[in-house]
Amino acid sequence: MAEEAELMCGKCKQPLVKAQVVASYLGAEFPIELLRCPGCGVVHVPESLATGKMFQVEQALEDK
Amino acid sequence: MSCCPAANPTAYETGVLAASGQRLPHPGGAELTRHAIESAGLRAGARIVDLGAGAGKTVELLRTMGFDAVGVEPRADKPSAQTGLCVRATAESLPFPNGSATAVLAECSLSVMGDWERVLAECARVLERGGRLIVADLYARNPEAIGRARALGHSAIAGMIVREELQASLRAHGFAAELWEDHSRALREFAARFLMYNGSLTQLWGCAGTGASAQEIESAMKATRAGYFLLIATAGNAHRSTPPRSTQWI
Amino acid sequence: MDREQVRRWESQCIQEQAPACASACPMHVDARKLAECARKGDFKAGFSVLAAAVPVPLIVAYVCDHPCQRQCRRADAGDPIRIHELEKACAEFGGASPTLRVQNKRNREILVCGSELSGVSAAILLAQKGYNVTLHEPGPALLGSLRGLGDGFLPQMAIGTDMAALEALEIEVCYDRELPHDEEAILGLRHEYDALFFEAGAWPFTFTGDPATLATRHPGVFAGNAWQELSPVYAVYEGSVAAISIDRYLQGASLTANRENRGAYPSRLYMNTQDQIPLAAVESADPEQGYTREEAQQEAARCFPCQCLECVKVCEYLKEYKSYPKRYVREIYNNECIVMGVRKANRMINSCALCGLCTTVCPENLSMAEVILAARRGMVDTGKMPPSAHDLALRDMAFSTSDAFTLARHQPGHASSAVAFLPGCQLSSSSPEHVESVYKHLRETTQGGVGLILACCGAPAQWAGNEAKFAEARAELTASWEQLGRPKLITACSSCIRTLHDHLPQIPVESLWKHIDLALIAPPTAPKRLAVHDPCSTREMREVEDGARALLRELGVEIEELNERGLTTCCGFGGLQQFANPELADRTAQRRAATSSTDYVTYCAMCRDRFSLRGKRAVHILDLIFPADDGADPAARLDPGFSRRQEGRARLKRRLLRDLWGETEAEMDELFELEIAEEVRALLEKRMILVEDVRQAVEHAEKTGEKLEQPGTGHWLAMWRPSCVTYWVEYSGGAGSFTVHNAYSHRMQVK
Repeated sequence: MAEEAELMCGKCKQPLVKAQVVASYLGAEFPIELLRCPGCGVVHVPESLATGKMFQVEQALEDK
Repeated sequence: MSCCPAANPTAYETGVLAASGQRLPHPGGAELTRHAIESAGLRAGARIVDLGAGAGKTVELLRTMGFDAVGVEPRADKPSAQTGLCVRATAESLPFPNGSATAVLAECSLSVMGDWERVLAECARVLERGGRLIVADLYARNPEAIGRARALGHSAIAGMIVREELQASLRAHGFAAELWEDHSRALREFAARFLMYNGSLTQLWGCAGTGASAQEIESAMKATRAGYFLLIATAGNAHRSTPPRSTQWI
Repeated sequence: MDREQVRRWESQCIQEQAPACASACPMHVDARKLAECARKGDFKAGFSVLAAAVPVPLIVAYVCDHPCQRQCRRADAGDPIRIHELEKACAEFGGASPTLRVQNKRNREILVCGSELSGVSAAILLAQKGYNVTLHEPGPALLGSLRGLGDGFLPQMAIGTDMAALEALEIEVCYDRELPHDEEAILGLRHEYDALFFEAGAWPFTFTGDPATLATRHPGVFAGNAWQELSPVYAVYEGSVAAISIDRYLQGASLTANRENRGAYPSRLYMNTQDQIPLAAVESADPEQGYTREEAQQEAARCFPCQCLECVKVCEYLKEYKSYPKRYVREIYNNECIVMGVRKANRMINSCALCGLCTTVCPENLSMAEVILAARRGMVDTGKMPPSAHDLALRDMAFSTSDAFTLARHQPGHASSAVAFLPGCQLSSSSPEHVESVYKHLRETTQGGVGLILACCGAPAQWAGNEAKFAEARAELTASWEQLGRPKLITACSSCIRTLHDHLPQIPVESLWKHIDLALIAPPTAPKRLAVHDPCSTREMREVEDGARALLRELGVEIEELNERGLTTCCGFGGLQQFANPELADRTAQRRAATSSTDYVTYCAMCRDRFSLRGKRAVHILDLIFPADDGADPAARLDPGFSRRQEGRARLKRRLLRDLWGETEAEMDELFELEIAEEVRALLEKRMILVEDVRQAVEHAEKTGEKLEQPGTGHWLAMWRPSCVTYWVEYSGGAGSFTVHNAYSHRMQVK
């Protein structure tokens, strides 16, 4: 699924819009801009972010 | 902002970090600065010199906390000199009279100063008797591998501090070490934050342009077990006035 | 971890013990290091090894009676290293006046009587400690007995160089001073001197020195016992004993404390010389002259050198972190003590396969598994276990202990069980059809009813250090066993045997291998020759290994042994190595797979699958007994992967319920179809996402409507966060049939 494409919330039947959200892991918080449903607040995490930066950050925060 | 006036502009100088989040761009952020100031037991009105003050963000914070703070920043092109937050000078030659400061703060800046023996001598000079030197910086938790880091050329990694060396220098300059705390988790979070917003660790540690690859940096960080510490030392051989609030005495 | 226990573990690892040569030397000259320097041609460094240990290094180099050589382990494979010749070479090519370090001057006077090796050594050592020393020689020259030896044996130059130390240390030497001859008058010297030392034979009457301290019955008076000519190095040693005693006496310290490791003692360092090729000593071309540099280098190169490392040699894991158990134990203990900082040893702790091979090969039976398990439990207890380390394994175990798999029934038509079959999770995952065949066979051969228990013994939780989950699994298994009337269990899983044996000793258990009657089954001819791989869980349980071998022989297999019995290695699954450190687990499996080119046969479903994943042809013993209907090559069967394992378990339970007990679970009808292409399945495996996770995500999305839609494509995006991982699944379809196009996951939480 192309990540730039418009996404609709299946529940609220309205398009997701850019919004400031907070990603957190092991006590560290990271404000980021992602697509969110203005109705129910569900946030879309794109595949490239999840398997890219997010993964690196998770690794960096976990004690190895 | 306080770090890394290096020959190769780093993330600090290029302003990438300043734009990247609410926190101050050094490990531990404003929280660690506050903790350090509190641990040093400074009273409102205390005169604090911030070494490597960058754009003067920490100076601003200290002023809102009620301190008489001033930054020292050698880079001419920074606007902070005009705002009155910082004076343009090097830490090796501080433009303050003897015994005029209550505290000197060096957050992530000692590691990028070539001649920190001279810097410590200057700190000893400008601090009043019993004044506090507050250092937060990168250090090698496995000092045996420090050679790996030092081979990386001019950067915060190459300047990584070895606890015993720093403490010996402090003693030589008449400082009594009061507090040593490990804050390596802050470094971890700091690196994670940088990965999240900016990207490569090469850029972060100022090794760009020295030919060191991200892999070399990472392996040097790993081998040395790079960590972050907070140290508070008292100037002069004077009797300890009020001991700082501390968790670990040396 | 208990400090005392940590100390015991550390002392069990002997790698840092002194080698035989150094411990046979009363002065503990590190001959192993000296040989290493000599091998590199650095004779100067070699000489400084000697100079660091003895006060008169040049003399000792020439005259030493080298007790080290008599203990040299090279003797097991050729001649002992000619350490004495190497010392001479170091003196010849790298000898120098020793560097003298003098501590702060102390205003105390000491008289040393007698100037053979003991007296001279004592004088030098005491002067270095800062005392004012007077050396009294009744004869005309120092070291009188050595002077007559001739240059060929001891060059005068060596004596001159070593004796220069006396002057440098301002030791006053007097030759002709008249000393009293009766014991009482001698004791009068105590008014002039703070302490006295009489070398053995230096005086016409005898003082007897205590062997350990050389103290006589007179305080401050010390006397040697050594015959100087008999053992020069022992004479030097007596001088050092006297120096230590006198220093302690003058400081008011205990004479006897902490002197256990002084002098020669038997070495604890183990050196395996079995595989060493015997090598004869290098003979010098000119025996008068001794070794040339080249000859000395060649001779030194014969030193192994002595090291234990028995465990490191056989274990990929211990090799991985480039050290040895003593250091690992320390590192692990330090890791546990870190409160605020980053714990760097976590991955190391989680990478051990807990296979026990190290304990088997260790001369002192140190168990790294015990150390590692204690560390993991500590991490779990204090909440310091990284969330990702064993997550997948524990979730998989949760599946095995859930209703999707667990079952405890008497045989259909029976109200009690004489025995019960416990196939174990992994055989049920990998070859559910074998479980059905075996259960059928056991029912045919056993009187009184064969119960069936589908359950997990809890091994994954135990390996993960999660005592709570382990206890839960044990309790559930115990309950099932009690429900069936406490029958003897017959299991196909080595890990179950191990767990029951160690942690549920009240439950009688036997391996399946001696309960199979081949005459009834009449399996087809097995491959002629197979190499047996024993699972590591039943190491030391010879009856299990023997049972499997007997069955193989009965099948007509010619058995190739991969190792000496008891020395099997892990497949990389043990201890959850595969989850914490997949790269290392690959190497562990690869090492085992490369042991022989013959096809392997094993009796652990997981071991077989791990080999198959590496491309190594391997069969499970049940593959030979119950071959596939389609005649497929069992050694070519692929590893099923995580998802199919779970599916295998769930399917097994459903089929058994349906076929044997005539029950159909109601939910079965509600299950919807998921179509997943092979490449998507491969991606899921790589990303450690289970089909079960995907199914639940889709189910959740369809039930609640919580999903995202990409207009125009007909694709939906389901998101589901059951606990600490968020799953995203891209899918299409509807009405009970869906196609999965993609899935990914993250641990970060987003709000």
